[in-house]
Amino acid sequence: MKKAFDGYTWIAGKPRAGGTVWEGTDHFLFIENKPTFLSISEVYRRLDFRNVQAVSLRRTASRAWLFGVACLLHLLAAFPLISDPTLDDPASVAILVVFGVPGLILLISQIVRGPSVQAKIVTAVQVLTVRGISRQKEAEKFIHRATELCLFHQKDLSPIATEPVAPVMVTQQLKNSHIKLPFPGSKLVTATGMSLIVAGALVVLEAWLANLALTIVMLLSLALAGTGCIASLGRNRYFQLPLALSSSLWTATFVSALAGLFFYVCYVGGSMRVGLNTNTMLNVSALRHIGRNYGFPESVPEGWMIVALGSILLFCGLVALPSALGAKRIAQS
Amino acid sequence: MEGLLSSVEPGVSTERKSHFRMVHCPYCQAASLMVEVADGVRREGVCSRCMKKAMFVAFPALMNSSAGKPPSLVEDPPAEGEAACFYSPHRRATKECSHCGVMVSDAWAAAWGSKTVCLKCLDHLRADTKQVDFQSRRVLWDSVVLILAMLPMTLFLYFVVFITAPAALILGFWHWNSPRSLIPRSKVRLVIGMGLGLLQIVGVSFIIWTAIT
Repeated sequence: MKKAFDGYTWIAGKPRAGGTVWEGTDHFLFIENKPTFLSISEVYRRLDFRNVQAVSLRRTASRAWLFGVACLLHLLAAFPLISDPTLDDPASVAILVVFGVPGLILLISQIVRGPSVQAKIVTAVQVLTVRGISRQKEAEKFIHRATELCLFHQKDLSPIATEPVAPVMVTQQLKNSHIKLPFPGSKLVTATGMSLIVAGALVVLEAWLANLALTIVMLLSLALAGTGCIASLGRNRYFQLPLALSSSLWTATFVSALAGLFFYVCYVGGSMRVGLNTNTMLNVSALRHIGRNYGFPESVPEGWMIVALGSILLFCGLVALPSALGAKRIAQS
Repeated sequence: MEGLLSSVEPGVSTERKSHFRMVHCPYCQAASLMVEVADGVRREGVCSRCMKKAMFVAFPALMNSSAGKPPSLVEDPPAEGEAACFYSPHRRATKECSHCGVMVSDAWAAAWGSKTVCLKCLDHLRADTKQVDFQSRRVLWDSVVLILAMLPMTLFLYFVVFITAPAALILGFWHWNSPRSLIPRSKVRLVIGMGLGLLQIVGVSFIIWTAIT
């Protein structure tokens, strides 16, 4: 794609991402199209620099969704490892490659591309979504250039604030000040707290009850709680989390990973005992084996280990949930 | 707005308060997000309606109007002997429409590249697909031709080759000189599309001829 034509200079965006933004002599030119491999039409919009009142940026959930897809692909890729940890079967290797490689590429690309955002331009009569900009890095470049251009073309308009900026409740400086904002509460952290309570209770129950369904639900809830902890810590890294909340989330992340490893070891042990000759993706007998043989009264040390892990998770959930709810209540009040 | 300011900004000076304006929230679209118009400084605002945070850079143009209302125009009546605007006779005519030739005021004129046109002409010109300089939308015929040529090559749509291959060839010739994307690009899509269309016609003809003979 050319970077300049007929007095226009490219600022941001890609045609395949949904549009491009160009800088004219006194206006922006937005060339919008469908974000497909070959778009069959283009729509042109122009916006004078003098009329731009504000540029806004908001986070979107598309990166989280793509992370979810990558996790799902990794989960599918991990299935052959459960039934065939040594990867002797070529079919297992094929499944691992078919699901694992795209999942890994997706994961790395999402990490490299950064958070997903949506930029909007506000004028007196419209709020225009800047198409073609979907990542923070691109948006930063666009906002930087747009700020320069709009300020230059609006310098003869009303005076602007020159007073030093102090932190206030409604308007706060963004992260370029390097000051962490107080945690305003989050639905994700609340949900993570709940999932930790559920996962902890199920893990503790696992020590006494030998039930296949319980084992599967427990493992899924454990994975959900661990992922929730990591996502909560990642998403709220720019906020000053309360000490109880951050320590409980960190502890829960570590303990859920430890519990996952423990159950995986039990599972492999179970697979070895019931025989590894089956070619099934998920060895149900080995899963059943965890419930029957790694709890009370058959195996007391492993039973206590399960109780300890579950109790820690339960405790972390009971600490995290009120902290998250309390922070949200304070922020809303 | 004053009430909201006085309730949430207790330590802010009156002079600084005058730089606060409401803008549309990028989440809920309501004009309920208060930002400070500062020298290109990024601020984070919390929408008073949906309680979500968004980052804003506000510019001086925001000071001249409140959200949702266009900026007010300065009164500019024609003096004795001066031409009046064709559309607003109480305004002084300052420009001449390069399309229809009427004298118009600044309020009714729009600079479009090197041309100045009145808003009515601009509306008509933007709707006219033959006006290349004023187009608001353009069909990219080179992409259309390439898509038509590639459609039968997909797994489930091979049977449409009887329609798409001749269509790609005809459209390619028909729109050989039509304007492509506003961003300059070569005719490579058009050539590839026509080439594929031609190959498909030749291939299908050969298969039919073989079957008959």
